[in-house]
Amino acid sequence: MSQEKDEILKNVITVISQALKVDVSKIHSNCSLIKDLGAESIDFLDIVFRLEKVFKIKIPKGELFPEKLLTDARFVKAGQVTTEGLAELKNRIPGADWEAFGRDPQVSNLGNLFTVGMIVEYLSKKLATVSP
Amino acid sequence: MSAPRSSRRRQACPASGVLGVDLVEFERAGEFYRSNKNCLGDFLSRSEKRFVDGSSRPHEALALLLAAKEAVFKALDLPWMGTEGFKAIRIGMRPGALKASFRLGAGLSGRLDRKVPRVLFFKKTNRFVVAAFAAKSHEMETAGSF
Repeated sequence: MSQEKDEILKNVITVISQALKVDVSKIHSNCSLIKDLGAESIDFLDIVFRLEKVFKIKIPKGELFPEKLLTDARFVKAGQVTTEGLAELKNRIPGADWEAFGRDPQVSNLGNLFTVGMIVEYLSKKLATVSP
Repeated sequence: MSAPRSSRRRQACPASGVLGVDLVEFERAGEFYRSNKNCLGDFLSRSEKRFVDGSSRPHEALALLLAAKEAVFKALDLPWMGTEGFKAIRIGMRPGALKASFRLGAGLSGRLDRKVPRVLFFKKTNRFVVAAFAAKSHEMETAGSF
C-alpha cells in the first residue's frame, strides 16, 4: 500500500474507532462495518460526517452510498441487483468486493460491501481529485 | 412509557407483510447530536429538524426519528442508502402529539402496495426508543406517543 493510502487508512481507522467505540486493533481493511464492527445507521451518518471533517471534503449524495441506484428499476428487480445494476455499482464503487456480492446479488447484502478498505479506496480517489 | 390508547381507529398489524424494528440509545444519539448538530439538515427534512431543535430533549427526538426511519428501511429490506435515503423517509411529529406519520420519497413509494394499512409504533424508555414499522403497503396509521 502506498504511503498516502497508509495514512488514509490510519485516519479512517481512527474515525471508525471513535464513531463505533471499537479499539483500533480490532479494525482492519477487510472489516465490514456492519457484519464485523456492528455499525448501524446512526453510526454510518456519524462516520460520514467525521470523514468529511477529518479529510476536509464534502461527500456528495450518492457518491459513497448508491441510494438513487437502488430505486432505479433498471438496476434492481425483485430485491436483486441486475447485471446492469452490478456494472453501474462497480463503476461507482470500484473498491468493493463485487465478486463475492455477484454470487448472491440481493439488495439486502449490499451493506456487507461497506468495508474499511472500500472507504479507503473511495477517499484515495477523492483526495487525488481535490486540488491542494 | 407505554403507548396510550388512541381514540382513533387503530389498525391491526397485517397478518403477513413486512416488519422493521430499530432501537436507538439516547446516550448514542446525544453524542451524535453534540458532534453533528450542524449537519442535521443533510438527512432530516425541515419539519423533522424543527421537531428536533424545538424539543426540550433534542437527542431523544433525534433518536426517535432515526429509529423510525431505520425501521422503515429494514421493513423495505434496503441497505443503508446514505443521507439522501434517510431524507426520502419523512417522519412527521409534533411535540407532545400522539401521532407519527411518514411519507416515502420518490423511488421508495413503489416498494409498498398502496392498498394495505401500515403501522408505525414506538416505545420510549429511560435509555432508548424502539420504533417498529409493519406494512404490506402504502396506507398510514399510527400508534404511540412521545
